[in-house]
Amino acid sequence: MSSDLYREFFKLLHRKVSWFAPLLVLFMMLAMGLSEGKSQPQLLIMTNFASSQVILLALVIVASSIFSMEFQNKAILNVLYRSPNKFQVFFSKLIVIFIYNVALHLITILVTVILSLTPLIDKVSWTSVYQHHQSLLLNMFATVGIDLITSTFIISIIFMISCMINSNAVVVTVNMIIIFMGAYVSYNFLLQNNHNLSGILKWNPFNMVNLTQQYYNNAMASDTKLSIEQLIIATFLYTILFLFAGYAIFRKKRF
Amino acid sequence: MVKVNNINVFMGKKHIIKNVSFQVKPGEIVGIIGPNGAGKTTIMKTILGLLKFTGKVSVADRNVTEDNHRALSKVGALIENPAIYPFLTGLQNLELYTEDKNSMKTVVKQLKMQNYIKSRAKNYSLGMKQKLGIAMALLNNPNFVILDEPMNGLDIESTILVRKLIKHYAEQGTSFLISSHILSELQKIMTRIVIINEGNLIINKNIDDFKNINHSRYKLLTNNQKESQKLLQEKGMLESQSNKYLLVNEKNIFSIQNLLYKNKIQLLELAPQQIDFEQLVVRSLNKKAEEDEI
Amino acid sequence: MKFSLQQEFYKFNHQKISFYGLIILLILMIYSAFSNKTSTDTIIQNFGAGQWLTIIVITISSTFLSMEYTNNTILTLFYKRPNKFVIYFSKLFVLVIYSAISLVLSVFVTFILKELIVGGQYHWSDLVSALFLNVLGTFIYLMFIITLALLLISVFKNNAVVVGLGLFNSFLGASLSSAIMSDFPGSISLLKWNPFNMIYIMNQLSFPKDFIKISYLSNLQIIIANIFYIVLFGLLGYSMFKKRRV
Ligand SMILES: Nc1ncnc2c1ncn2[C@@H]1O[C@H](COP(=O)(O)OP(=O)(O)OP(=O)(O)O)[C@@H](O)[C@H]1O
Ligand SMILES: [Mg+2]
Repeated sequence: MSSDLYREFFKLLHRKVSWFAPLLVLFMMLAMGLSEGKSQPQLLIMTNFASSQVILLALVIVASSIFSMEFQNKAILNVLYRSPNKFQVFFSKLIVIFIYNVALHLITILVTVILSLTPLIDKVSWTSVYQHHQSLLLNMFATVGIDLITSTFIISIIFMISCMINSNAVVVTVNMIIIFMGAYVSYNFLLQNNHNLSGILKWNPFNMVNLTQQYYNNAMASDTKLSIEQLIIATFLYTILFLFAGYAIFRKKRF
Repeated sequence: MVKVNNINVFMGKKHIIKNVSFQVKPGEIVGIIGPNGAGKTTIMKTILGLLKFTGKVSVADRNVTEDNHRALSKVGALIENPAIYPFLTGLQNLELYTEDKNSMKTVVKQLKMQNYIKSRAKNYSLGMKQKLGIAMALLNNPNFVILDEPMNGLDIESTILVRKLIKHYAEQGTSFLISSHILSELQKIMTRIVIINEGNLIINKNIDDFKNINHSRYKLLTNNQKESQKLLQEKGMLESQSNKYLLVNEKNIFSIQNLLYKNKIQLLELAPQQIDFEQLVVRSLNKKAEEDEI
Repeated sequence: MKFSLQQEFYKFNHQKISFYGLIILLILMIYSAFSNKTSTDTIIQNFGAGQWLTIIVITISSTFLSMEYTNNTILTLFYKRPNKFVIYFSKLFVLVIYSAISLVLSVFVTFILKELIVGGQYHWSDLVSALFLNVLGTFIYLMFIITLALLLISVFKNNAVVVGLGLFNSFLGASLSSAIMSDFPGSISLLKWNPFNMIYIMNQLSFPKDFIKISYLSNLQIIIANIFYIVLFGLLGYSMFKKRRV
């Protein structure tokens, strides 16, 4: 296991795209700071400069090729026979992307702290109470924690789809649609069937994309029709489900 | 070292490998030969536990299955095109799988790759990539090495180098399973030949035994071919004719010499019939096809 | 040139992705039709076809060029074709034709969907000219997307990055552009020419009143700006493509 992990890290760190993606995150954070710095400084800090979506974009770009690149150049053959079994291959890729995800979040915290010291946004007190009867500092850490759940959920979808479809462009497209339109699609489901089926439909996986947003914007609850606790539990369960499905597909795949 | 016992591989409904069994002993170099699409690569992938199969594969008496590759810890392989990450240098590609840095350096030196091993693999030439693939297979002093078309794209010097290297490793006890379409090359190193056609194993012989199919025929030239032919035919010792020669079986050559001597016929030439290796393989493949028709 | 085009069309038709693109377009249009209440606006907007097509076209464009590199077939192209210009623009042309065909198809589907869902409730005579303008706007924007995708592939050489960035532009570009313009009202006269703002052409031609307020560009301006970007991306993309080592 440890050697599988080592190899995956080695490869990840040597790909240019792994370093390009954080730049994208940084760029978007700056753009957000520019546009909202004076109007909603506290919200910006709580959400680490609204970095949730762009982190997902970075994850899609980096994680979608973690399988397809090796499928394409057949390096997967080497990876597989050198590893005791397929589970370890799948699992070490998962861990590496998970850690990459955590690292991205840590970077956004750091950048948030630095940006908050610049004139880009208005001065705010980190210890004053903001949302959920908690200090802004706690709000920020809690949002990061929640966003880790959301982004791990997206990772599970990326893994499942990249084992299903070899074309990495299609994998990226499908995931981007889920990230950016999932909320809208889910809302449509719920809106139409307001009366009879919404009790079931509110548990559709697209609804889980809203988790982070609902945490910093309580008004979302009326769209998702789920409480934050329910969202967390459902997201967690879907993550497990998709990871199992992804692994099952990976196991069956011929190279 | 490696035992392949009655394996069958299906892809979809297609039966690709049919009841194939063979063994590779320590230090043996097994050449696997067959037409395009015969199933050579598939057999290699199966041994590496990369495909679903029925039957049994074991390496060093430990079973290999699709889900358990622990028996492969001392196995190296190069399958079809070398699996190289273009964004890493050659050395980094090796580092990824190396267990001890010294063995890595040895391999690089053995394959004479020092000059370019530190530059990115995406700038490598075809032969450079191929050598890197071979180096990856030879890492960590393996007990068993699988090479699929190893000479692909290598220049003459490198071909000789790789050939020597394979022999060197084999002398230390490493077994090899090598496929190649360049028979002359394979012929120089293999100690056992396995011929595959349409997923069936049709020949599995020690190389000397295989060549002996060839040596069992002698060609005969005398100062009176007509008379000799008549004599031999009477005794039932004439196998066939080719050009001016009469072809006879090895086991009869002494009695034939006596016979000719008795009949005062002078022997001009009696030598093993030379068929080249290529023809031999083609003949083996055809023989199988004919048998199938009957 | 003609031969090149024929070959590109042949390859394109045999790639499954182009066919799937149309199927997905059809499914998404039907989805849009039944998930929202049908009004004149949704009909004029081709049941969301424009929005879905930008997504599909980015994916297909980027794959259509990058596959030549991953399969190493780009070498064959380079030595078989008279020059790199022919290669690049044959690809571009095929993608533009694909967009046009998809649009025509989507209009056809819109006709059917409209009859199925609302019957004779709205009169075509009121809708047709606006629908046509919407299709025109979408077509221009799809050319923007195609030249952008080919440019990005020539720069980044990584399909995932290109599709990711392209889709990011489709989903968030417009709001990013609006957010920036509203925060710097003094610089709007300059900022309104930013590339993220170009996406509004899809709807502006058929709903000029609403969208001029958002894009700050007149119909003529937004058309000219789009064409400017198309030419710019096309030339930049071609020069990057020419320089790229194979
Ligand atoms: N993924 C696959 N799906 C279906 N059939 C396959 C697949 N891979 C290989 N085959 C079939 O298996 C058969 C054996 O293929 P294999 O690659 O083992 O041949 P080979 O002996 O290595 O040929 P070559 O000399 O050309 O390398 C072929 O008939 C091929 O069509
Ligand atoms: Mg083969």
